[in-house]
Amino acid sequence: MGGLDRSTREALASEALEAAMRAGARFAEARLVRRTRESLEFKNGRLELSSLQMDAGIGVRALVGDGWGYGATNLLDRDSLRDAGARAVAMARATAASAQQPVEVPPAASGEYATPLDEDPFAVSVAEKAALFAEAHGRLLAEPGVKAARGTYTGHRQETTFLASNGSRQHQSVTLCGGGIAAIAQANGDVQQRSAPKSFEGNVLQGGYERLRAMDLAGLAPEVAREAVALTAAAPTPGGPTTIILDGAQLSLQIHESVGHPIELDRVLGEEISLAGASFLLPENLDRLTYGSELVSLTADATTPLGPGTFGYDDEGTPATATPIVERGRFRGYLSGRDTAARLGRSSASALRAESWSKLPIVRMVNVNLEPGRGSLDDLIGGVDKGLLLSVNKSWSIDDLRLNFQFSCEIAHEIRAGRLTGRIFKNPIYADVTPRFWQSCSGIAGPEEWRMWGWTFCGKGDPGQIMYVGHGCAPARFEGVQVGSS
Amino acid sequence: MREVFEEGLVAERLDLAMNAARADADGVEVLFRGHAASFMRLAEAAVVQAADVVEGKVTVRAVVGGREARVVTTDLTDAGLRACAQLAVARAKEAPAGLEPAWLAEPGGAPTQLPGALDPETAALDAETKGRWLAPGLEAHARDGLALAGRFHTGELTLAVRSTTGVDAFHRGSFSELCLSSLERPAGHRASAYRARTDARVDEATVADLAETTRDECRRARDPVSVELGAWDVVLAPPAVAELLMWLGEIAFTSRAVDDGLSFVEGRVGEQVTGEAVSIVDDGSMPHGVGVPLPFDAEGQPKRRTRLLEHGVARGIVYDSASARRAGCASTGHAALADEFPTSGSKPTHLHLEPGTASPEALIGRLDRGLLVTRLHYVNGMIEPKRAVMTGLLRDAAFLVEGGRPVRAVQPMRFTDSILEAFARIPGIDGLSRDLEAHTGWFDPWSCQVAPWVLVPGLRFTSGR
Repeated sequence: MGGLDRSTREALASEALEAAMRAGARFAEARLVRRTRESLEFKNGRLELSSLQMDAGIGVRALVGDGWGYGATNLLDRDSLRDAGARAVAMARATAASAQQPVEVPPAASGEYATPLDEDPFAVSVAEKAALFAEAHGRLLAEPGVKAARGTYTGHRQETTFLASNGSRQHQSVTLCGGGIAAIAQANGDVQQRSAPKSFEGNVLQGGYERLRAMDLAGLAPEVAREAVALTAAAPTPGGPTTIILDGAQLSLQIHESVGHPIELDRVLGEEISLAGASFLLPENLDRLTYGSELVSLTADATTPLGPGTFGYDDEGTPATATPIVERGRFRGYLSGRDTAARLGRSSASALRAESWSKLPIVRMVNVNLEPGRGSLDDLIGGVDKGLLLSVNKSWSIDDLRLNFQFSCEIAHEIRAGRLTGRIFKNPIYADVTPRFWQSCSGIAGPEEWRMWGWTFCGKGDPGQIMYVGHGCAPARFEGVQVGSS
Repeated sequence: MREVFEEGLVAERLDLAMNAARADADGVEVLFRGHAASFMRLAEAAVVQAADVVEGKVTVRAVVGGREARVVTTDLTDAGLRACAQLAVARAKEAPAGLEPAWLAEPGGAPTQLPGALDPETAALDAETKGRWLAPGLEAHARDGLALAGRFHTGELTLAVRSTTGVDAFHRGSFSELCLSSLERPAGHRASAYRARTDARVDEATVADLAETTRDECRRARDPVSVELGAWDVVLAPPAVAELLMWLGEIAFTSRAVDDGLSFVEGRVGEQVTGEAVSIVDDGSMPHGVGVPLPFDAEGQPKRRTRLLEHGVARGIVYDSASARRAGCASTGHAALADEFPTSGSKPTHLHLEPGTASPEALIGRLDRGLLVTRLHYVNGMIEPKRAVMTGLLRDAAFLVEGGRPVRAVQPMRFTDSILEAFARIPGIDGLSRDLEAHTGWFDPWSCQVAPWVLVPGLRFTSGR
């Protein structure tokens, strides 16, 4: 934490923690968090926006009876810290009045975690980052028909000091870095965009600046530019049920929306119903529901290397763990925190996370990964008589039980007789219902194609919280999926 | 009233940051955003989350030699603000050249206070009082075996901007976001209903009314049936329309959407792009008396009433200072405030779909066989922005209407359609209601959408469960 040594951070957290206990809490936690986030936007090789956010404060979660309350402030003087602790207790009294579930005080857990990194992204100059994007943009703009080049860079560090009244004492520092580029082409009365390695924020992974360098944005640029221009002359994607292969960039969001969110146990138990919705995965489905084909195994893993959802402890102090979600197609587990897991007689999946000090922790994704299968992407394509390879997300929508979904992608590549024909289609959309879709999975590429994909703007909670999560996957094939064009 | 961030204190903090940077910069703009909020969430007919959060942050925007950088801090101590200011200057000095030289806006004469923006009682509502106001609704739902879920967020907002060009703007307001869902158990799997209000003021009677109305409607929404996919004549209630408005704002009316050629407004100003019944303005003064007013933007520029669509004809977009200069016009007061996703350019904040002449009952009465849609879920407008193609789902008490009367609740299904083309089918000014409501999707006290009830013939439903 910038300017504050460890003992000072612990002293600040202790001040708030003790205030909560004095005010009547039977248990309390204090999280002192500093986030540093550098956001750069580039257009046509030039820097368009340079923003550095330094956000520090403390949040106190207090337990009165079986009700939790939360108090938070960015004012770190002694009076404000004590006030935050006392306000957390006042809030807890408000929820305790109607609390319906018993809450147990956890055992203490202490330790440290820091992201392994080679190159501190905050030590790399803006000029150097700009040069990397300028080179990539130069290659995008070299393609006739590309009207604009866009780029985005994110460097993020979250440092947390966590103290609890049971004696827990934890220090963590998580660093993320990454970005992406996009070409916008305009011709034939149409506008099309292609992005790499992923749309929106690009790919943001846990680690240092070496993560961005390894993406080789300049190397990806020529193909992205060519495809953006070609799409303006492409035909709409033909409609009807067909075989589709999803590339990793798209499949990661498919996992996110149709697995990651429905397995959040707070949604299942109705606690997120008012905004985000519920889940079709009611507890009676556990160990019974056929979620996918036998090829499909998914794991919620807070320890995966490179995963944005990797840490040492979650935000209620539970050590990071891996939880089977789907094993050979069978539904096995949920994302959970201590309280929600206890309602099913299970252990926490170490998935209670908060955006920052100002938000109370809720059940969030960690890294929800699709385990690899066998073979290459070419092998997957080789098994398709007639179908489409769909790449990079453009839009997403799924119902409030996480059943009916519809995604659109940037591009569809035609597959005939086990080969890519070279023909592309624009504006592809596919839609299905979650279990039916995963049950239709007929192939998953192997470890050599498996990559980690980071999503840093997963929204949940109310007030809304933005969280960084990961999804490791290799391209996968699905049969009989309804496809069309907008 | 708590008044955590008192005006004199905020001005003094901003001046400290500005003065720490001005000696080494050509220009400095400092922005303060603060809230002292009581957040409350309900689920399963109980208060399940309560949080009291005080948050204030300062953004220093430094311009040096035509280059700029922004640094945000929540450290409001002298040392913290000086460090933030010096870092902003250092980053501006080392920044490579942008697309155009950076500069700071001159004072725009922002009003200091808008009528109705501040209700001291709402700003100061505590969790105990809110719990007491909610108690009868919670008890009634428990008696009926229903879940009551939702949010009841209240608090005070503080926004201030000062700059070396002389900008000096301060605003204090209150907000209330009250959203209630009544649900049969298991919640989300059976009947549900929804009511919400976003305003600068709330009282006990409003809470009671919403809790009771939504409970009644949930009873009527039991045993939803599946209906066929295809084109349906629909009456959209204000929460549904507000979500479409929000997406129209994202895909069409920002400077970035136009710069990238992705907006349907780009190259079409003066052309008919949708139906004559559709007029959309952005107006932070909230002239209809609903919603949360905001007088100025992140640059301290007054929020001007901005015509975007007038009787279906594209009139333009909203601007911040830089995009306005490029377009050769004045800022409309729409420099973006949000910093979770910092972005360059302008953004609509208070979109209004102008009201019509009908009552909601009259609109429903015009449906021979159609759907009454309370709320939409997970709308996404990025499918094909040039045509405003959007998708989303029915949620919470959608009803089959026959002979002008709601007869049965229907199961969720998905629409996918061009909203420009769908709104072109609105049958005139009497296809919109006189009544307006303000809504937000996610909690965002700096922005809201104001919408009437709207009759839309032939909305295309494309899939179900």
